[in-house]
Amino acid sequence: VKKYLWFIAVFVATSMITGTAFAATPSGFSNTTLTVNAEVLGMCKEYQHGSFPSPLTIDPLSATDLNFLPSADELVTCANGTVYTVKVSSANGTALDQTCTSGGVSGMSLKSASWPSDTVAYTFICAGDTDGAGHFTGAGLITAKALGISIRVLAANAQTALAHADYSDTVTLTISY
Amino acid sequence: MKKSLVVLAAMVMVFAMVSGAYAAAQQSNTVTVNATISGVCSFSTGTSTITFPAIDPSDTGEKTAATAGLTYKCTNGTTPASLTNLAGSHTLASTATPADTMVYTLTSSALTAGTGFAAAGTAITITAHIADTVYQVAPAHADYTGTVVLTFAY
Repeated sequence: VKKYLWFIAVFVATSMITGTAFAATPSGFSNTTLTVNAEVLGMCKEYQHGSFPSPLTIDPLSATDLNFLPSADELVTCANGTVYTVKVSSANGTALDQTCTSGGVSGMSLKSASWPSDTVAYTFICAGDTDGAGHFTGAGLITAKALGISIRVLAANAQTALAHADYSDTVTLTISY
Repeated sequence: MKKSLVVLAAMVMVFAMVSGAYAAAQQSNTVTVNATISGVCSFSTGTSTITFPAIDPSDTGEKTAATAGLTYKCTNGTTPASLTNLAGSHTLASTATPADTMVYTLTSSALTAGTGFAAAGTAITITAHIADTVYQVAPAHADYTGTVVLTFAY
């Protein structure tokens, strides 16, 4: 009886040691939770410089407003979903950082180089705004968005303009986002 | 005097009997001891982080960022077979706008044999990759994040 109990005791002790060893070093797996963080900057860039035909021919006999489309539209790329506005300034007019909308920006002026007092008022239009309030939405830096720029000279202003071949203005567009 | 002798004789007999009894019950037993050293591996930390520098979406080329200081230990001579969950595509999502996501992939440096748990850990570098075609169209957010549980298989 004594021997029997002794072997039982050894067996139990061995089992406990073995069990403890497996619990301390479970075979199979070890984990690490990897967290990855990133930031994508809100960014806009000019993709194509806008320009108009030179010269724009203003017909003083026109009974309707004169609309001039660009020879190259202003194209902008912005991070996808980034909402931006376009500010317009006229070198010869009073417009300074006016938000460009599909309704147009007033305070723009063409001025004769030889007769600086002779001017023709016009409206600068950005027909590509998303909501009519001058908000544009970027579609990613690889998808250019056209601002839809154009110039409108009211018939009344064309009809009263003095004849010159050297009217000009410099328009500055600033993208705000 | 007689009494004394009788007592001594009795003691001798008792000792002799006891001694004889031991001799008769003595046996030998061979105890075999077996042991197994498990081949295991473990990371130095339960968590690790990769943080990309701010990404300019007008850039071109893949963006990468990697873990720093991550190590692991293995039983001496044990090489991890692989890291599960490493392969395939993973997703970063904006915390504020979860619908805005970016896909990325993970790679690791070569897995080499461990040198035991008393030795210094073996360095491992996990690198995250974001393709330019992904971040160029990603909405601007500062809070893209994602987690992956990497597991040693061995």
